[in-house]
Amino acid sequence: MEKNQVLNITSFILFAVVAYLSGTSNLIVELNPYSFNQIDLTKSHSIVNLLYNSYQQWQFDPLISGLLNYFDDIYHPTVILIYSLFFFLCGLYYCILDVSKKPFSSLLLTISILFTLLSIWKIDLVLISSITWLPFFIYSVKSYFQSSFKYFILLALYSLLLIVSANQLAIIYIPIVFLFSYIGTNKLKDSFHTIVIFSILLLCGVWICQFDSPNFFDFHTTARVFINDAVAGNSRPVFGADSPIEFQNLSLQRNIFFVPIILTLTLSLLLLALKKFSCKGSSMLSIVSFILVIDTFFPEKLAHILPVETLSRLIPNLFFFSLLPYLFFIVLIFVLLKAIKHNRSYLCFIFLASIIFFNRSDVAKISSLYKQDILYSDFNLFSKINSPSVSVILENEGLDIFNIKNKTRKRFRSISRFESELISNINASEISLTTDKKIKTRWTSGNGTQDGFEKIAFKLNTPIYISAIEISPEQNFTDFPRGLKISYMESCEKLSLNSSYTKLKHYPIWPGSIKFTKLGFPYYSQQSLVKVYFPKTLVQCVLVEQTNKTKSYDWSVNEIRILK
Amino acid sequence: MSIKNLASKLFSLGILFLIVTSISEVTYLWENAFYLIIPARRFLIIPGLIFIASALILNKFNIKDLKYEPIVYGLGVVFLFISDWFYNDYGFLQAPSIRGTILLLAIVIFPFYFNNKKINWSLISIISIAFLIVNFLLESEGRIIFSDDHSTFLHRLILLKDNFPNIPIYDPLWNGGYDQRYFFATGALNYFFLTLPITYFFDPEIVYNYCFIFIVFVLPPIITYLSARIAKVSVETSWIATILSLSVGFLWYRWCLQYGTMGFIVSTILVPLNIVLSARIVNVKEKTPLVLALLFAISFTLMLFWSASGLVFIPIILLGIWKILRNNLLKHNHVKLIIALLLTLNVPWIVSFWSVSNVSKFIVAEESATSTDSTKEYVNNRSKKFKHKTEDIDLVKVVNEARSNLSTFNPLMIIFVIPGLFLLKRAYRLPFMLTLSWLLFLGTFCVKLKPQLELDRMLIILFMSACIPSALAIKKLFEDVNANSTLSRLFKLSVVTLTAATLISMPISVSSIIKRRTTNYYNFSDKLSKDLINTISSYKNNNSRVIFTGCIIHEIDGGHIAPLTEFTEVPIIASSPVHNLWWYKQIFPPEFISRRDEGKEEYMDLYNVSVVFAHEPKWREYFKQRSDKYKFIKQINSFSVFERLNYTPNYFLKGKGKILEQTNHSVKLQMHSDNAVIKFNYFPFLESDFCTLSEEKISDSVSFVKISECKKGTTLSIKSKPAWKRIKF
Repeated sequence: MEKNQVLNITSFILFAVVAYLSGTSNLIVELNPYSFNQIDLTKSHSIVNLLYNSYQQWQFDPLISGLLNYFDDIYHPTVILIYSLFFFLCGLYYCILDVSKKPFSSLLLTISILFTLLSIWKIDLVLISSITWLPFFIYSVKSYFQSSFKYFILLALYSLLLIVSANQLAIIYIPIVFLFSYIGTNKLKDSFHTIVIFSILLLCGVWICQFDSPNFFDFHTTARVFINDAVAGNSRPVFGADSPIEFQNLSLQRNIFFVPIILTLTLSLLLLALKKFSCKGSSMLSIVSFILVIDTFFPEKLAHILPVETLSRLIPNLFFFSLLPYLFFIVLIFVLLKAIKHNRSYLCFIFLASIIFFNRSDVAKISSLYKQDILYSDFNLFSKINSPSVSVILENEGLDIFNIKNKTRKRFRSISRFESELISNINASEISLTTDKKIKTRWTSGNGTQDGFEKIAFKLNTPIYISAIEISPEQNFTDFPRGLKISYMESCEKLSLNSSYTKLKHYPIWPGSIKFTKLGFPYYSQQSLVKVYFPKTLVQCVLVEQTNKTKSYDWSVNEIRILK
Repeated sequence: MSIKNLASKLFSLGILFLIVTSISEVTYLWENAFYLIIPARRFLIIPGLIFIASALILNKFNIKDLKYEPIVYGLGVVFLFISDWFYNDYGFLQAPSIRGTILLLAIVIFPFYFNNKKINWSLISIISIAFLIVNFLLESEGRIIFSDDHSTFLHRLILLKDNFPNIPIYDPLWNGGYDQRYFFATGALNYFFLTLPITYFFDPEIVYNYCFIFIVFVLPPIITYLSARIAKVSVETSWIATILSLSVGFLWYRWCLQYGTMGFIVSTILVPLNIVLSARIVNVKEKTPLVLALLFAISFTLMLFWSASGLVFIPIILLGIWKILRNNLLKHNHVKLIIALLLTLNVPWIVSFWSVSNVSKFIVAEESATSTDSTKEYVNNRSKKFKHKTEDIDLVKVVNEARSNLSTFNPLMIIFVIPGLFLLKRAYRLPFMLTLSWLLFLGTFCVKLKPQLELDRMLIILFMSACIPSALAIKKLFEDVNANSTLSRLFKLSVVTLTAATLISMPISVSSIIKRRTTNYYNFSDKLSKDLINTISSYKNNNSRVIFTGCIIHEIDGGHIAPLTEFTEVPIIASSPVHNLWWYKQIFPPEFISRRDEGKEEYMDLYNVSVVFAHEPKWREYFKQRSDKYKFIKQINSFSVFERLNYTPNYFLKGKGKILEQTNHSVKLQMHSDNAVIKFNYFPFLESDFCTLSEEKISDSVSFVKISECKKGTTLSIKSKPAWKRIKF
């Protein structure tokens, strides 16, 4: 047995072990981002992929979705899984075989890659069904460039299948064509081939434009016209859906990009050093990877100038591509397959490393939410989880957030009603302005900045149950707290800023108050509305801290109000 | 580095400092309040002047020998990129997002310049045009652009298509008879002529968006390219200029998309061509082909239809006079023919315009507008209020306002226009310099002196004209990528790629504006206008008028109400169909409104009103409270629709007859008595084919048409006299 085969078999066994340990044996329905037993899989849906905190329009291959009607509903997920895996595996196998010419070795590598994908992203049918035709597509493109015109039909057919099954994601596949053309051959210089490729790209583009953006009809679309209240700028995407883009968790998305990119860069640099690369695409791959690594390394504050977020503003609906990191990873694997001429066993180490790296905690957080049985019996509740509201739900009370809805209709009362005492560590002489019930007066941090240590505390005459606090800056709408922490003491003798308070709520970045659409979907409203909701708590002393920094604006409080 | 080179670099740096001073004050690194780099303007002005002085001393005051140092000006782009300058709410390139786009494009472009490959600017220009058109069409979703004056210009196109050359007209469909004479003052004629090939075959309301696209996204690059080529600028530079013409600045697209003053837009686009052509004509050393002379006559006439554009050419006209006196210009370059053509084409309409629009009064109108202090007089002189107020010149205020206005334009043009002027061919240099300086003077110092002329628009014309010189300087920078050392080359490449990326990112920035994702918001005709049109149309056969109470300016999908009479064929009364009001104006005149319910009723009787639209809360409430007189029909957004109860429609105040037809230029009626007073406003320029028309004074502000010396059963038309009969000498 060759050295490579030994390596492949070893890695295969390793994958099996890791895959088993990482819980691949869970039920398909439970692992997927939507409830298969509650939606019609033969139709198109706006779905949220909780694993990636993103949402997209998804539809199972429309060409054959009618096939599902021949099966009972409960078998639909299994049919989709078998169909998608079968074509994906076949395509992958032929791709690898085409390069290595060794059937057994190719089969092992194919299974290894598949297991890696399943281990990292679990059995996510949205993912699998969306990339079903990708390997065949790559194979056909490669064949087309290597052989002759006879593959044109094959290429066109696969392109069509790809677009149909991958929906908007097909736009991501477009660069693959170029990448392969560039790496594999010099035929792109041939004008005829260029025309063919451009025709296919045009077809893709036109087709993609036909797809609708994810449609969550009841969402507030003008909650934030500008990113960060009152700060104008075209941070909003130039193309594609404009709102509710703010629901997106960009830092999570960047984290998802980070792992595949860093792995690719490490490997490509390693192979460059070992001179294992034998084609000119290797250096390009390294450069691209390097740029993308920069993208993920920079602080979140600068993310907007980096390629991924820039591209997402320029490519329609890119933000909705929940599968982007996944796809990116697969593309890199194929590029590596092509780039490495010998000793592909190095790939096994990437796969192994990726499984270790991809053990993310946020997945567990979402999974815990999903394990609540109530979700599967209440479709209304489930639909709210399967929406852009999921970020708001996860960052707040979990399913208890829906109790806040009743509170939003109730009236807040000034704390002056409760014979309160007030202190602050800055501008203490003006703190009484927060209880004078005048719209034009306010307490303010006063030096034009927020430094992260501003504190206000108040004491009520007797302990009472409260469920929300309002500390809005009213007319000075840019003066909202950039970070906010609320702590309390059930009873207190003397009001102090330094006593030991119990943490009640902490927003490192203040996202805005929670509001609800007419149909009950929670969303963050403008940041200048500072109403913090929490479970009903007995309090007497409350400490409000501003915990973030800005050099541009004060922190102002017009009136401190509470909700009983 | 030789002393001469050093002097050139210092000189360029000094000029750059002064340019940066003109557009920024307190400047932070990256974003506001991050790290202060320029605490006040003097921190740039003083070093700038020192650099210039040093350069002159080093070069022994030989200013002619100082060369343009493109890379130094390129540093200006780098400065703007890393400073908080992009964080201007009304800036053309708006941070934070545009920085990402520029960087991404710079990464893509870098290998081109690194490998000394050329960028295909023609392809980028054509793609940019297509890109903007597609974006606009996607955003419009088949709806007509309706923002502000767009609706008015659509109305004017319809009127012109129906009536040209018989303008101005008497429009009985508006306000009981309206003098439609704004074709001249607004420059609608140039828009009409340029879009005639489209509007001749199709209805303007169907093809309005395509007319707009042609003017805003296609015409500027065509005119700029043509102008650049006539000015003997290279093909590649001309293409760069076309990209700049598509990205003049934020204010340009505000006027195009939001304000919709298309006459001004067309004139602005034609200014560079006219500067180039006039520069060529006044240059006696070079022969001007006849075709260019004819092109100038046509282009200048089209431009002059927005009459304030004539001001732009005062320096070149003076230059021409000087050349006539000094070099006998009249004998060269078909000048006599051009003068004859210009007079023939323009004198007739200018005379009409001057006469019917009271231009002489308008020019000195700021005196009467400022001389009234009492509130009462303000109410009576509402029409004399303008967008700007007359003020004495305060230099600090002028400089601050200029800085604020200049910051909204294309930063590349701000930086490169001055060196670009020196790169123009000799014959074009002086005309461009004079005109651009004059425009800067008009657009900054003179705005408050003549508020009614809205001279701040001259800055927009300035930047449209600055495309060609700026392109020259930018192109020179793109060629300056070679250096002796690798480090120096990399530095130059970085500056060049950043500038090129900024240039290419501009259509993307324009797309943001087009897609309404900036502070510039404009409107398309939407459900509201559709519902209003359907509702008003249902009263088509009611033999009466519809009134909009209160003051109506932008309430119909952000546009003016003007075209509604054309869409519904129902006569309407409103405070004004067009935007000639800058302050609230109530539809009911003071003498009627002071008499409370009785006065309002009488006014509506006088104007034969049977349907009322009320959009202001107090008016909605007013009519709802009087349910015995007004029946509530329906609510369309903020508009409540009421029908008057116990009112029989009748267009005849005295005498008898029947209104047979009301079109946008005449009213046709049949007399059932010898004399009559009809409920149509009287103007001295009205004429009738059979009977005698005179004024019947009803109140201080209402005068109706009195028809006399008629035979019973006569069918007559009342319309405006031809323009030549309306001229008052």
